[in-house]
Amino acid sequence: MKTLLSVLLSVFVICTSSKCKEDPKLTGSVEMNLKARFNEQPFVLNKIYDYNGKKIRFSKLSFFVSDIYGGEFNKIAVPVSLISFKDNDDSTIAAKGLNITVNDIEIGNKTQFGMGIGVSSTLNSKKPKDYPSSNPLSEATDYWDPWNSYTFSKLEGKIDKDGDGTFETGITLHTGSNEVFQNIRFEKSFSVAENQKTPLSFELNINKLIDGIDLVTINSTQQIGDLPIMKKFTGNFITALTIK
Amino acid sequence: MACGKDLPVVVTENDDLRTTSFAPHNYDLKIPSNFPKMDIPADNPMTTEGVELGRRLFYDPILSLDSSVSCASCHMTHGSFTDNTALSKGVAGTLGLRSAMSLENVGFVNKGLFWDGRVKTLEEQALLPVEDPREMHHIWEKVVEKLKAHNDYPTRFRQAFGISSKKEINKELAVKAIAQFERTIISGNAKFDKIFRREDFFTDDELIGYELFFNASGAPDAQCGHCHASPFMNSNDFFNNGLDSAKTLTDFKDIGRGRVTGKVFDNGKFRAPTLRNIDLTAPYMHDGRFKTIEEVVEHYASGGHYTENVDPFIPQIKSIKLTMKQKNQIILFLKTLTDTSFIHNPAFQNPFN
Repeated sequence: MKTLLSVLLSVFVICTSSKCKEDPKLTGSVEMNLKARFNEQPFVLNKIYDYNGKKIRFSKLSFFVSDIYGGEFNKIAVPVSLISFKDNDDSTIAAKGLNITVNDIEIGNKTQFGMGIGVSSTLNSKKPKDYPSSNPLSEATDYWDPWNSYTFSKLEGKIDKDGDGTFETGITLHTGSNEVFQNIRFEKSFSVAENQKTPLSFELNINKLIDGIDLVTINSTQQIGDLPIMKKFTGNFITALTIK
Repeated sequence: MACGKDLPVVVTENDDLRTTSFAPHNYDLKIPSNFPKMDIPADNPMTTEGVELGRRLFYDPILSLDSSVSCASCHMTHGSFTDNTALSKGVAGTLGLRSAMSLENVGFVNKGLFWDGRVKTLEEQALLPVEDPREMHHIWEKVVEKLKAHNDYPTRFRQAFGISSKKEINKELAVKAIAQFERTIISGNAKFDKIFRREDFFTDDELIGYELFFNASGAPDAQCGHCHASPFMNSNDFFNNGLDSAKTLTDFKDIGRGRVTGKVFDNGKFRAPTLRNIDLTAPYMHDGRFKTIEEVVEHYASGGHYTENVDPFIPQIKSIKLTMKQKNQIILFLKTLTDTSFIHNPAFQNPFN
């Protein structure tokens, strides 16, 4: 009996001295740089662009990305992040792009990087009140009750339809609901070193993002009947978002 | 002595407050189940003593130059913590530049206070009206002297914050107390809340108004819910909602958010305020230009005025051509946001009455 107790005690001591604990994984970071472009120019808010024979100006582009991973699909580094081009006020800022740091990626050589456009279904099953104010999902105006979903993306602006210089027609192209969540995987070789930031450059081509959606006639996507347009929009990220 | 009138601005010789015990009680903040958690600053935990001190300071005109204006002068309970005037009056009747905002649920606003979002915290916010010449027109240094010389406040500062001496009373502690009180100003017992707690029902017209407001059940989208989101029926963002027709973006009478960010495309933008208790908070908009809810709804239904940066939702409202009946249904829904138990809550009333 005494021997058994000694053995058990030894096991306990060994375990509590962390030998039975899983070794912590060494991690590093990826610094995503994302540049948005429209008509082969930096994407600048409120700038007047040509569009299908009309003039257009955008006032907002934002979207959630979730389940960001580097290397292994099942090892999510960032659950969710809001990407917003709200500071793209001039071409200098726009040309620099947004930086998004993705921490907690295991060190080593990687061959792929991925993310979901939108809010993953697990996160989307909750509401803003369920998240602390530090979480990007805590904003009530990013949730749309009629869809029981976060608004995954917002592209807003105005069009001058009749060419009189007045941008009289509002554009509010919003997407949301689990059906339009879009996974994207980039095949890319890169290395992650301990406590180092590995830069990865991305480009978002807005022309490709709205490909097949005529903003002159489709000004708004808020109704459930707009689901095919929303799917088209989030699906367009596959070709619009590229890694350099 | 209840309020701060005619107090001698002299600190007494006996500044030691340690004969009063310091044993603060945690304040039990009751947050409705449909609300998020409130962020409480780590350096200003809520206590019963702090909240009570804050309530007294909130209602006491001692904060103003001539002891004529208190926080409550512009934030009255019966107006859901507004003053029901277009522009508030400060010391000597000086008119302010904007309408007083409602303070209900203000503790949940964490991304910029005031119509233009120029300060981040309630503590920072409470510092400003005291020295604003259009409001209390005082100097904090003088206010602190008056608080130190008061026959009641030093003890209350001791009970709330554990200071040892009157000399430790300062503006930072005063605004901490005011902020603590303001965080208690929670309204979550309107018919709207009861419906979502399954304690009440919309009438048919209220329900249609709700559906129009939030574009629910396939109703036409009156676009209201994009800027006035549940549960607070507000937004942390800033919008040009088509109030003014400015020739250029620098021609707005009040440039609003643009003064804070320095961005010309933010000119003419203001916070989308809470619509809770909207039936009690007339007149409306940052300058109180609309006297009734009907005028507000009519403004939006008309598509507002065009400017370069008018929000894209505004012209879209006009396109759905709301009928008079639909407008009335939206108004009936808005009236379900009235919480009378809130405005009659004894905890929010003037302690000097």
